Amino acid sequence: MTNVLRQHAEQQFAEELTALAKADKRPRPPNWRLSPWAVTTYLLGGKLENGFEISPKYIGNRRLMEIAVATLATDRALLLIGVPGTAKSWVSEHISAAVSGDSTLLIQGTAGTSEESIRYGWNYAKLLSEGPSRAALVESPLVRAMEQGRIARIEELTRIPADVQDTLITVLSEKTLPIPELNEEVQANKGFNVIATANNRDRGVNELSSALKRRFNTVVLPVPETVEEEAEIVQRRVESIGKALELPVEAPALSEIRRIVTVFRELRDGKTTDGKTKLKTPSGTLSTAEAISVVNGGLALAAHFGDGQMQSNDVAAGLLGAVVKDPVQDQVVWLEYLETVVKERDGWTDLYRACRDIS
Amino acid sequence: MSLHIFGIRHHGPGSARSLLNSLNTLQPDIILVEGPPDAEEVIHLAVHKDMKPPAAILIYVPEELSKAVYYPFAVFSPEWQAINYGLKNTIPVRFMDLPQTHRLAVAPVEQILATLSTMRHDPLGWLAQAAGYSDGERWWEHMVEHRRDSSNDIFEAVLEAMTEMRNSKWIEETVTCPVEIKEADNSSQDKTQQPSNETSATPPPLLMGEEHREAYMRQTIRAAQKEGFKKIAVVCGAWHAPALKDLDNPKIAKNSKEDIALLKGLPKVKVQATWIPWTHGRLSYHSGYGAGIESPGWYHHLWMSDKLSPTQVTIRWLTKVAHLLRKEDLDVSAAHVIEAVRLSETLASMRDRPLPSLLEIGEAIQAIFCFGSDLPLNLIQKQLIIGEQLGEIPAETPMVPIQQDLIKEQKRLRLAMQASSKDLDLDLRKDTDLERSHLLHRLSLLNIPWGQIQHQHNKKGTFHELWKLEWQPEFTVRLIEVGVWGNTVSVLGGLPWNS
Repeated sequence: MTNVLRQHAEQQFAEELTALAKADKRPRPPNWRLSPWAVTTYLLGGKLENGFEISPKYIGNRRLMEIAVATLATDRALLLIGVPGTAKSWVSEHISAAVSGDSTLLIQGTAGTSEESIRYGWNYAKLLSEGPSRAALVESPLVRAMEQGRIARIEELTRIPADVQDTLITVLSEKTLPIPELNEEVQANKGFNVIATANNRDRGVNELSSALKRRFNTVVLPVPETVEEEAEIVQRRVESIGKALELPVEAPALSEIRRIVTVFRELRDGKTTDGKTKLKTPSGTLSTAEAISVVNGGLALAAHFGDGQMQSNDVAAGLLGAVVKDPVQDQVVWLEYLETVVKERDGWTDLYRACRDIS
Repeated sequence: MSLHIFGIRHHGPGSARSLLNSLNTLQPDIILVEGPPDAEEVIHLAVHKDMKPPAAILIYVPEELSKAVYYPFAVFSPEWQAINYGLKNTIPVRFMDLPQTHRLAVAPVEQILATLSTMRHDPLGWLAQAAGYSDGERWWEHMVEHRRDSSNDIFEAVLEAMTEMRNSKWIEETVTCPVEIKEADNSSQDKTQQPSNETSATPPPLLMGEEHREAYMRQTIRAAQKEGFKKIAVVCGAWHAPALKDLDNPKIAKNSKEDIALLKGLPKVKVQATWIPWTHGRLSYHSGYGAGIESPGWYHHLWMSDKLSPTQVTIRWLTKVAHLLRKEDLDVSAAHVIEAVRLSETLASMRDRPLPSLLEIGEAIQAIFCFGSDLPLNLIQKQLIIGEQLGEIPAETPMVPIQQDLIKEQKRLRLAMQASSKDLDLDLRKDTDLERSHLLHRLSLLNIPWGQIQHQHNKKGTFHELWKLEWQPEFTVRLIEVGVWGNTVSVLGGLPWNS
């Protein structure tokens, strides 16, 4: 067991990747560790011919993953779009781990991301002492990916200011990055590609320019279709995170998870599961990822302050925190939901009590 | 004397192409087509210069118009191609299915059609699915078009496969299940149920099912043999092929006695046959027609791109999509088309398919043309995959007077019949527009809503009338139905319909 808090995908699933590489007889695009078929198998899970079990990383529509992987095989850049918490970064990390064996060539998009962090910067001490040279150049992960023929990841592309975003245009269409200061250029090697993720719901996003949009193939990742699917995702993730944190608790019952997922889905869709009651939606996004963290928080509470089994009062605080992002508006929404839906539902009295106690 | 059975896929462009090739090499002296013999007197119109498919043969009982059957043909239907081939080369063409004069006497065939499961309608599509193809036509294309050996083999192979399928008990079970559920709705044609009280006085309930139809087909073939035709080509749905084979081999041919007995004393009713214009939309599954196909527009494209390589077929289709989207103000460049072709081919190869099917092409379109959005796909589905095309029929087609009157009026007022909906803004101060309005109003009175009146926005004058026009093939039947009351639309529109 390593001491690392969170392992990279290629470390955590090293065994699966090796087994797949061994079993994979299909043609691989240049510089790919696996064939496109094996990459999709890695993402969606399955059983190899020798009986080795590959765990599913993405639970949902198979076609979407196939489109994503095929896109990379045609050397077009891939843009994953979706509301927050639909596993965009998760998918991008696992695809790059499977394709290049390296998911660390990452540029995190923020409002403060500058052109230097996408192209290259300078080591000013060296620059002053030795003058401009390749040695004085500080390469961005993107440049390294180009040189090594690997996948570069750009997270939250839409958070990056529009003028900085457009730096990518040359790289995506010409597959080169000029360095005018040295009168040189970096040419991408085979196997290089970009996976970007973007959000279409968050506040404070910069729309992509259409010139940039054109250079991407877009795959929209949807929210999970059914309660069962979402509950399964939450359970799998909670299990693996719990193992990493070594929480001394029993894994939560699926029924408990399903209850949390149901709350999230109903508030997100603005109506109850049976479709009979209309609900107000809170300002937050209430993604699957947040449901995972609510369950995790509940587990931690149960482990350290409770009896080791996740009860409704361990979850209640997390639920409240996830739903009420705006203290005034969302509070009203939450209370109304508690009174009209949670209170009336059979077997939910404990959850209602726990939530009432803290709100 | 030889008998050649061509088991085809209804409305399958691949079958049509293979069939044409085979007919060209075979040079038959008579062609028998699965279709209603009642329509033999109008069959010659198929090669009329004004006939433009999609068109359908309409067979109806003049006394009871709710009993009507359509036999639609598109240009890529194998039956249509066979009829055309025969008539153009002055080879006699005959229909050989059980006449509607008997079938309509029992129940509207629509019901019987509906009771047949897709597997029987489209056993080849089912085989394709079993082979892992989402699209029967591309499967056929791959299996047939890419094998350059004699194309006659494929029909032998189809015959064999169908024989196997019909013998397989497992398939029989899965097939009959949905049929029985449907038939239970209509006890008068259910052979498994005891005759109910009301029908017990009349002859026992008859299901004009497969046995009767195939018996009649065999009889037609025998008749042709007796007349001394040497090379008989039989074009029928693949499912029926095994039932018709071996009639040219006297040693193992079934005796005709059984068939004669089966066909004896069938009820009869007087029927009329004519052609009516049909639409691609009505060929598709969505309109609930039993033997429908999902994507007539795509099939039309496959038929038209006869000589092209498989990649060319994809390229042309994506170019069409690009043109459509451009017309709707969505920017799609040639570079996009290139990328979409590459993505659809990569996707197909990832799924171990030799060629991209509509599914892969659609996914490429969504990822590249539409930035992940699925709204433009609806447009493509409606305009291209189904394709809003209305056929035309020649003026010589037998018609009741009111139909002729409507065509005359519609030509005079320059109102084109179209399958796609079209807006029409009438200014009632103008004579022509006023008459158009009269015609549309009269037709609505007759329950033929060719035009739907629209709500007026931001126009204050009372002289404006906004109509939405959309012609549906079924209107013809309704027209024939009201035709018994009078011969012109204007006379009929004036009748006191409320009483």
